[in-house]
Amino acid sequence: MTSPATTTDSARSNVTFIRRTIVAIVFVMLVSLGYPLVMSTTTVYRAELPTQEVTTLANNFKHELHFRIPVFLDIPNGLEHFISSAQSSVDEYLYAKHPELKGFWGLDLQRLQGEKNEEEDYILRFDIIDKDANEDASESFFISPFSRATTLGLTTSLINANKVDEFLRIILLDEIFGQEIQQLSNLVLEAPHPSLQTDVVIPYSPKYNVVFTLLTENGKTIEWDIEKAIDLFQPAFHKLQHFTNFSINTQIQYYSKPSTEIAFNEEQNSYIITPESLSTFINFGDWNLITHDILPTINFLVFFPESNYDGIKTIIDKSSTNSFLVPQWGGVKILNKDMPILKDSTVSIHEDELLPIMEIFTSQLYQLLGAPEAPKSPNIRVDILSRIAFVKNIGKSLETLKSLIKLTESLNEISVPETTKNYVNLSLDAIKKSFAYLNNEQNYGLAMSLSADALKFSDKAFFEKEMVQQAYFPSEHKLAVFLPLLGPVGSIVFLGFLKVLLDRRKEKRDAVKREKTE
Amino acid sequence: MISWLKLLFLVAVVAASERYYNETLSLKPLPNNNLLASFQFHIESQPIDLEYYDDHNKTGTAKHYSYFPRSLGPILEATNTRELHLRFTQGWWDSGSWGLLPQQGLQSGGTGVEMWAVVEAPDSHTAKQNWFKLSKTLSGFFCASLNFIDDSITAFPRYAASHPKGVVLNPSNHVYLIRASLPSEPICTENLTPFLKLLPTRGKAGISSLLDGHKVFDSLWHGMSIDITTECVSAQCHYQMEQSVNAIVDITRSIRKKQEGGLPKPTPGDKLRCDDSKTFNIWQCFPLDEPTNVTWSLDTIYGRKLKGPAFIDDPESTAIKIDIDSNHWDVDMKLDKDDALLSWRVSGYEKDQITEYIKEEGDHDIEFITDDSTFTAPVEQPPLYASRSLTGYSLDKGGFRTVLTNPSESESVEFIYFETLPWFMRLYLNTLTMKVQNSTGTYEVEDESVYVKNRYFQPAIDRKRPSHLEFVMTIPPQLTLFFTYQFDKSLLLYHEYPPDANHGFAVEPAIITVLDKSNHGVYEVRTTSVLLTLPTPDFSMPYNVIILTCTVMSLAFGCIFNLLTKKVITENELEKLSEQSKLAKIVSGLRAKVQRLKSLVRR
Repeated sequence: MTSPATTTDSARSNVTFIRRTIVAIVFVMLVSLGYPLVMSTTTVYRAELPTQEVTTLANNFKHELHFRIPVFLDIPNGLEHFISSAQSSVDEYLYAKHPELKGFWGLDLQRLQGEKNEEEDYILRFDIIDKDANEDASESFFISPFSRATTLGLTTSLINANKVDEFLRIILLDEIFGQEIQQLSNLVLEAPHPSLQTDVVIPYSPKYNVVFTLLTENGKTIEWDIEKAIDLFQPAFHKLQHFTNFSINTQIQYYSKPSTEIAFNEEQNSYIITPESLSTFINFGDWNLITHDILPTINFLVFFPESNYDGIKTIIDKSSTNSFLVPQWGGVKILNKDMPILKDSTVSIHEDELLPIMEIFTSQLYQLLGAPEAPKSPNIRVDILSRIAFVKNIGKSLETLKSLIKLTESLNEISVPETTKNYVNLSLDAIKKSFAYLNNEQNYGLAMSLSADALKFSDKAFFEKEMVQQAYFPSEHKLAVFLPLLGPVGSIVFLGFLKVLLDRRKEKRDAVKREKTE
Repeated sequence: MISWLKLLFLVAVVAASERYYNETLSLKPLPNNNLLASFQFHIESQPIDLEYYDDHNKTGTAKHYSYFPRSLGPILEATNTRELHLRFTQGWWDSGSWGLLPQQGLQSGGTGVEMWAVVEAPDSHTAKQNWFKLSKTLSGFFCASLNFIDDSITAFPRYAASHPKGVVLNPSNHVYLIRASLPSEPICTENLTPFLKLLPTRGKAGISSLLDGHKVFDSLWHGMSIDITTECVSAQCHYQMEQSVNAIVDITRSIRKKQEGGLPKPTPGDKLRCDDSKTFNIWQCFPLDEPTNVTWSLDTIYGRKLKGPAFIDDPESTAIKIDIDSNHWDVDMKLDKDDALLSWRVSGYEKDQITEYIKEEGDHDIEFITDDSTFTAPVEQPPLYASRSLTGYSLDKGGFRTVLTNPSESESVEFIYFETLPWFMRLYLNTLTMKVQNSTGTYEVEDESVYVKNRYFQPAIDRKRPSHLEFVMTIPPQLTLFFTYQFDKSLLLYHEYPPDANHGFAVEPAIITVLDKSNHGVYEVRTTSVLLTLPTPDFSMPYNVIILTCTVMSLAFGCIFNLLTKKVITENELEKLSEQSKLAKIVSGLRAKVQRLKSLVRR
C-alpha cells in the first residue's frame, strides 16, 4: 500500500480513533445498561426465605425439645429420700433401654405437696396392703379411668425387700407411659412404625368433621335414636377437647347397596362378609359420603342389611364386634336386629342398641386419632396423644418448610411471593413459641395448639397460590418478546465490534510489514 | 322477585302436609306432539338448631339429617345462607304454542346457570364474602362454573328485595339478597348427577328413576331448579327444599329414536306419508304433517320404567298427575311385578286431570294412546309476552329493543323488569325511548311515568360491578310496549378475552316478574339471552407489534451505527479497493481459469 501524505494520515487515524471509541461506547452501554434492563424486566420476585434457620431447626429440633413430665408421689413425711432413689432408678432404667430419649423425654418425680388436682396432674398414691388380713394379697396397681391418679398397692414383703422403687419404675415406664415411650422412641429414631399404626391414623387437624351415617338397602322407613346416642358419645369428644374439636353431623341414606353382593352361607344360615371383600364393601361412588369441606372427615357407618327383614344375620367373618375400621377414613358396623321385624311396622333402632355401637365407634375414633391402647384412662391417653401429635406436627411442619426451601432452590424460575415468606416466619414463630411453652412450663396443651398453627402456616406457605401458578412460566416466552430487538441490534453491534478488531489486527500486521520493508 | 316465594311456600305447604318427602310427576301433552314433563320433589329437613356462624363459635351442636341432603346442610350453615336458589336451564320456551311456563315460571331460569341467595350478615361486605364462599363450594358440588361468579356480575336486586323473607338469627344482622348468572354455561349430564344425589332416593326409586341424562337433555327446552329456604317457627328452624326438572319432549323424535336408534335414517319409500291431494307419484311426494294417532309410554321417552314408589311405607310419596283431553286420549298404567304384567286404564275424578299414586313395588309404565294428538288439554295464555333483541351493527356501539305485550282483553298487568348488564356494555339511560302499539297504531310515549311506575338504575363500574336496571311497569290490556336504549361497547384488556372471544359474549336474560294486587310475584318470565359481539383483537397482535417495532428500531439503529463507525468512500475508491480484496482476486483467478477452459474447448 502506498503511504499517503502525513496530514491526511494523522486526520484519518484521528477519525478511526473516534469510530473505535463510538463502537466501544455503544458496546459498553449495551452491556451495562441493556443486560440489567433485560434481567430486571424478566426476573420473578423471590423473597428471601430464612433458609439457614429452617435447616438448623429441622436438623436439631429433637435436641431442643425437653419433656419433663412431673409425677407427684404421695408419700408420708420422713421418706423424702425415697424420691431421689426412685428418680435415679427410673432414669437409669429408661436411658439404658432407650438412650435416644436422653434429654428428650423424662419423668420428674416430686413429692405431693399442697393441693393438686387429680384431673390435671399425675399423682401416685401408695396403699399398704395388710398381709395379715389377706393371705393371698400381692402387690397391685390401679390406674383410675377418670383422672390421672394411680394407686399402688404395696405388700410389706415388697417394702422389706426394698423393691418399691423397682415396682414404681415398672408401673410408670411400662404401664402408664409405656406406649408413649415406644412411639416417641420410634419418632426420634425415625424408625418405621408398626405398619398398622401409621396407616390408620388420620393426619392431625385442629378440627374434624364427624359424620354418622345409617345406611339401609331399601326405601322402608327407618328411625334411629341418634340424638340420644350422640349424647353418649359426647364424653369421648369432651375428653379430646384439648386435643381437637369436632363438628358432628348424622344422616340416613336409603337405597344404599354395598358395591359387591354379600354371599349367603347355608351352613351358618347367614350372610357372610369375608375379610377379603371388606375393602370393596363401601360403595364410595354411590353412597353420599363426601363432605365438601377443607377439614378432614371421620365417617362412621351403621349398615342395616336388608336381610334383617327376613330375620337372617349378616356377619363379618372373624370379627367379634361385627365391625371394621377403614384406615384414615372411619369405621363401619353391620347392624343385625336381635328381634325379627314385624310386618308393616317401622323399624327403629333404639338407644340401647346404639350404645354398644357407639362404644365400638369410640374405640375406633381413638384408633383413628392415633391414641395408645393403654392405659385405659382417657385423660392419660389424651395427654399422650397431644405429646405425640405435638412432636409429629413440629416434625411435619419443619419437613414442609424444608421441602419448600428445597423447591425454591431447585427451581430458579419459580417466584417466591412475600406472603410465602410471611407464612414461613409465622410458622417458625409458632414453632419457637411452642418450644418455649414445652421447655419452660411443660404446658402440653398450648404447645400442641401452637404446633397445629405451625403446621397450618407451613402448609399455607407451601401451597401459596401465586407461587404454584407461576411455576410453569417458561423462559422461552421472555426470549420470544425480547429476541426481535436483541437479535438485530446485537448482531449489528457485534459485527461492528468484530470489524474493529480485524482492522486493528490488519493494521498491526501492516505496521510490521512496513517496518520490515523499511 | 323474592316476594313470589311466599306463594311458593303456600303451594309447598299445601302439597307437603306434614310430610318430609314427596314427589310428583306431571305430564301434559301439548300440540305438535310435544309433552311437558315436570318432576317435582319436595324435601324437608328435621328441626335443626341453627345459629349465626362466624369464626368465634366453632363448636356447634350435632346436626341430624334424614331426607334433606347432609352434603348441603353444612355449606348453608357455614355461609349463613338462609335461602338458596339455583337454576340450570337450556333452550327457548315457545310461549306462543306452549303457553304458561310450568309452575308459573317460578322454577324456570334463563339460559345458562342462575343463582341467588339470601345471606344473613352484619354488612354487605360480609354478605358478599359469604356469597363467594357459597358459590365456590357449590361450583365443585354441581360441576358448574359457579366459581366464576365475582364482583363484576354480582348484583343486589332492589325492588324484589323490598320484603326479603329471610330468617335473622342474630338480631343485629340483616339479610341480603344477592344474585348472579352465567348465561353461557352449558347444562349437561354432569349437572344432573349431583342433582339426583341430593334426593333421598338418589334416582333408585320413584319418579327420579326415570331421569337419565341422555334423555332429559335431549329435549326442546329443559330446566332444573333447586330452591332451599329456612323456615322458622319461634326458635325451631328447618330447611325446605324444592327440586324440579321440567322439560318439553319432542315425542315424534323419541319414538323415532326408540325404533331406529340414535342415527336418523331416510324413510323407506313405502313408509313415506304423502299428501294425496297434491301431485303424488313414484318421483314426487309432498309430505303430510306428523302423524296424529300416536301411542307412546314413559319407556319410549326415558328408556326406563318407573321403579315403584319413592318410599314404600308412604302411599302418597309418589304422585303422577296427567293433564289430557279425555275425549281423544286414553291413559293405561302398566305394572310389571314378579313377572306378572298388570294393566289398567286410569281416569281422574275430574275428567281431564288424573292423579294417581304409585303404591306398589315393581316397574311401572304409563302408556298414552290417542286418535288425534292435536287435541290436548287447554294451553293457558301467559299474562305477558316479552322479547329482547340487539339493534345496531357497528362494533363500537349497539342498542337493546325490548318488546312487552299484554295479551289480556281486560286486565292491565303490573310487573318488575330486572336486568343486569356486564360492565363492558356502557349504558346510556338518557337514550331510553318508549313506544306503544295498540289496534289503532303506534305512538311515541311522551310521559314515561304512565307506564314506568318506579325505576332504579345503578351504573356499572369497570370490572367491579354490572349495570343494574329495574323498572316497575304497568301495561294496559291489549297493548304492546317497545322500549329501546343505546350502549357503547368497551374494549377489554388483552387477558380478559375468553379463549373463544370471537364467538361473542352472552348477556344474561332480563327477568320479568308479574305482580298481583298485593305486590306478590305470581308469574315469572325471562327473555332470551343475547350474544354480543365485541371488538375483538387479533390475538397475535402483541407479538406482531413487538416484532414490527423492534425491526424498525433495529433498522434505525443499524443505519446510525454504521454511519458513525464506518468510513464513507467514493465509488471509484470502492472499485479500487474491491480489486485488491481477496474475494476479487479469487473471482478473477476463477474467471481466468474459466476463460482458459473455454478457449480449450473451442479449440
